[in-house]
Amino acid sequence: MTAQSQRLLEIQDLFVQFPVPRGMVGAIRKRPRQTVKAVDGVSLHLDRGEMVALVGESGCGKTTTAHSILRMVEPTSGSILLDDIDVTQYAPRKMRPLRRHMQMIYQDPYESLDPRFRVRQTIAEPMHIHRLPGDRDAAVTEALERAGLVPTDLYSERFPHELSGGQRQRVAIAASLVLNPSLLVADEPVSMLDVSVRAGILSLLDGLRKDGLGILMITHDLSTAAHFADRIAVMYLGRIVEQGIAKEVVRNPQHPYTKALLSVVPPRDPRNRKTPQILRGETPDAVRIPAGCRFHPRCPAAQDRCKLEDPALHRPVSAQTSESHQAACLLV
Amino acid sequence: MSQDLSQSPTAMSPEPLRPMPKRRGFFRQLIHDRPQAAVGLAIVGALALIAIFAPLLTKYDPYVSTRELRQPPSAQHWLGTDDGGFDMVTLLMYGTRTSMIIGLAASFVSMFLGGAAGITAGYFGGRIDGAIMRTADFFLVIPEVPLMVILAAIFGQSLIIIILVIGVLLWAGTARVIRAQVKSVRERVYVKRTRSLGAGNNRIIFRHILPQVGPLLVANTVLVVAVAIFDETFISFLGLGDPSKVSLGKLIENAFQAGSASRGEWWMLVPPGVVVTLLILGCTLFGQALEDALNPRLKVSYLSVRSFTIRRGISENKGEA
Amino acid sequence: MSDGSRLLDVRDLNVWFDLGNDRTLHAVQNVSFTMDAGRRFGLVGESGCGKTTSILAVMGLLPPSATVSGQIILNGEDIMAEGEKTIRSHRWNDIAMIFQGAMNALNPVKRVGHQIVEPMELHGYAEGEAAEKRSRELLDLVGIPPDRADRFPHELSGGMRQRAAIAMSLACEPKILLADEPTTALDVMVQAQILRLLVSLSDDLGLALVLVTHDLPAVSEVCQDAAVMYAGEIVETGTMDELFHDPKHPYTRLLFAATPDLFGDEQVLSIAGSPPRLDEPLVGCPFCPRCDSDFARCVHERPVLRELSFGHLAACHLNDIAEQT
Repeated sequence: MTAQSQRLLEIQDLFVQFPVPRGMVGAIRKRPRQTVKAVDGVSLHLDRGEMVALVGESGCGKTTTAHSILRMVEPTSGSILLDDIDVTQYAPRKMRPLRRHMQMIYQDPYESLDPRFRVRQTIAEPMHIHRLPGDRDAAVTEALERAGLVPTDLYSERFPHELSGGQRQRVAIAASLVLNPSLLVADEPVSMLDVSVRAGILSLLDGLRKDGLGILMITHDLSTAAHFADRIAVMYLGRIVEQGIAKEVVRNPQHPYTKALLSVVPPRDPRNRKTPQILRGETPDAVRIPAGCRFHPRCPAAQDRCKLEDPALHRPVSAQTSESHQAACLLV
Repeated sequence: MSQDLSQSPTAMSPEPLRPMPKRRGFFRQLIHDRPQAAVGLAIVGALALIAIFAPLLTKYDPYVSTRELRQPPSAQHWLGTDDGGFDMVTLLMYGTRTSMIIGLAASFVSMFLGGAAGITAGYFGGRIDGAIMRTADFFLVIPEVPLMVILAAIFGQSLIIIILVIGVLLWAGTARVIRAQVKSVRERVYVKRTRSLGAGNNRIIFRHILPQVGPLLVANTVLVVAVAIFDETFISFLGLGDPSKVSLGKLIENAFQAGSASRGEWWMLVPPGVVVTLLILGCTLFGQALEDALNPRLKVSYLSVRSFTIRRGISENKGEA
Repeated sequence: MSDGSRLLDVRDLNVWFDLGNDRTLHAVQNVSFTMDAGRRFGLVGESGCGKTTSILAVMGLLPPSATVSGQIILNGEDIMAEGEKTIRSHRWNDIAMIFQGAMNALNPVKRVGHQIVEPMELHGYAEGEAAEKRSRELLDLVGIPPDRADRFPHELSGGMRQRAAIAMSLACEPKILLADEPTTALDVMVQAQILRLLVSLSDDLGLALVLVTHDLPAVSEVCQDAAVMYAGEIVETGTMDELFHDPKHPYTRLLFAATPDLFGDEQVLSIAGSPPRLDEPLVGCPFCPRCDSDFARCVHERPVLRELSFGHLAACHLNDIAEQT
């Protein structure tokens, strides 16, 4: 990874499928084998210094996509290029050197730190694992500073139970920075934190982005995505159904699912009460993905051809949208 | 009007840490919640002290006969003498020593075997888990006592053999408990995080899982000590124990052989039984309290008959002012 | 909307928890609010502010380590006067609660339909055939298709389970429903469905709803009024419009500022610091260390919750200054 190009992450046609276990009864009765198509053809890119928010409801595949980048889950097919190196070609045992360049921040700050490790031990551990030479104490101090935990000697000897949720999340971020990664994957980094603390953590991530890190943020909160991310990709049932510049996607949504999602987000201002477009029913199982456009059974604008054709992401034909704004809908 | 707090220096450094109140030490809390732990610990502690300082506490030698056979309790011999003329109190002290040593050693064997098996099974899962657990099931199901008898009869009656036999019999229960705990710790986010950082199995097991599981292993081992002492007593009682060592079980066996019951020589039979019972009781009380406190699965949320308290008079006071 | 009948009057509710070692946690401090039929009231705050403890106190569901004072006047009777015994008779029949994470607390070995029948039988509301019939009516009311009534909880989705929890709470026809974080852990779309359900239940059945949550926009959408809690006490009460457009307490203002809006461009703020410890005596205003508008008086004098205009109360010294000028 010598020459630093702008393009940090390139996911192409990623598929992640899990077989559904049949069990003994199912095998005896010869039930057909089913697969969960958690990620059903996702292509996504991320540049250095960019924050992309992967947005969607539970079961849409956003978490599986993120986990497959880090090979916590094995992709079924497709390629994941990190600085032009295809991560999927490496056997799990050979992944260790690559892991230095991509790190993950987890949702639950109360569980992501070993309760028996002091803060400095948690932050120093990645260096031990990767046998990095150099002054470990200095690296720990620097990581604490980057994560906003100053004065550093106040925090380095603490145990997690002495820290608040926001502080713990900062420790987790510091621990991920100590290896100087290029890519940070943040899985719902603030959803378990108090509201008054969230902006602090998100600003910290924004600051890291400005330092040149690429950040992929998984979230279900569209408002957070709209404020802090450069681009948004909306996922539904394993596919990206709309993507583009964050503010554009939010103000000028093209896909009916995006429009519905945005309409049900309650506004802060009680005077802005709007009519939410509440979709019928719930997201179907990823085992039985509808034929044609996967959204058509719940789509308020569905037409006959939506039951037959499966749309790909493309620039909307009629609307005034910028070049990067794409939607997977036959009607735009 | 509203400041942008996210940019101010204090905003970047999050909330200043407040000193936590001094929490009670673990043992003080344990004894406060479960007083039987104190009782158990006291009994075992007292017996251990007696066992350790036995040579200082008694002037008699357990291997030298006083030639005063079958004497009832008296001023020189507080619990009399046995059929060989040995002072009973001395025999009890040295017997306790032997029983405790065997019990502790056997339970260490069991702790290592059971701990290693439980951690391996819980961490790796799959076929390894299956193989280990089926083996453990085998050991759990077979009747201890006949097996002890057979093994002791086959392999002889030395101290080491007895320790190993007991240890091998008892590892399965520990393995089961530890395996369950390891399985749950393994799924915790910080373990997954460390794995995704690239940590190998060794690091995860020894630095992350073992510290979480260690206390429970110790608690379980204390209970195993109780069982080990019982097993040793039983083996000795059957005459299969090490003949060169004095142990409480051997004393009981000896008393029976000498016909002390029919002769009314209670001082030969009852005291060893009482001591071994106290020893096992003490270990059990302490071990169970410890396991209760440490095993998260045993925690029961409050199901109390008592209800919350009402405080009256506050609103009346407000009115007065 | 509401027929104005006063159903519940909570006055000066205080809850202390005994922590052992002679330490006490003053978790709820002088909380007062009222509920009228058909009204939806929000109890808003972050973790540890005392909102859940407050409604648990109203339900009489506090642990033995708790001490309570204050009055809970239901239909003219102070049900807190005799403690848990009196409250128990009103539980579920007059006041019901949806607990936090209720959708995960359903009995996994009983069918959903039966779990709705259970409270009816326990509280003597109905039994047998009549209870079964009402169970089906309730399932229909909350939007669960009848074929799901005979399923086990694990066969239903999160949203369906939450609806089942709501149906359970309505089993004995309560007039007041206390909902603790009913939509946390649910997807945005399902959240909207549940919130809409709660609004329609309140409108159609005249149910008084207390929505306890940290999610300000949800409260904005569902409730007419709300109380903002901080460090165990109510720092501001008012209509949603007043709280957003004319906040009289810095915490209210900052809490809104910390909540991102979908279309707004203003910077999202965070509030440095953290709430004070409630097991130590407090001097001055509890929010003072984190406040952006504090001054000398705030440090040693505790502000009192005062009514500034009809129905709009706040506990902040700034309002005294505003009045004087």
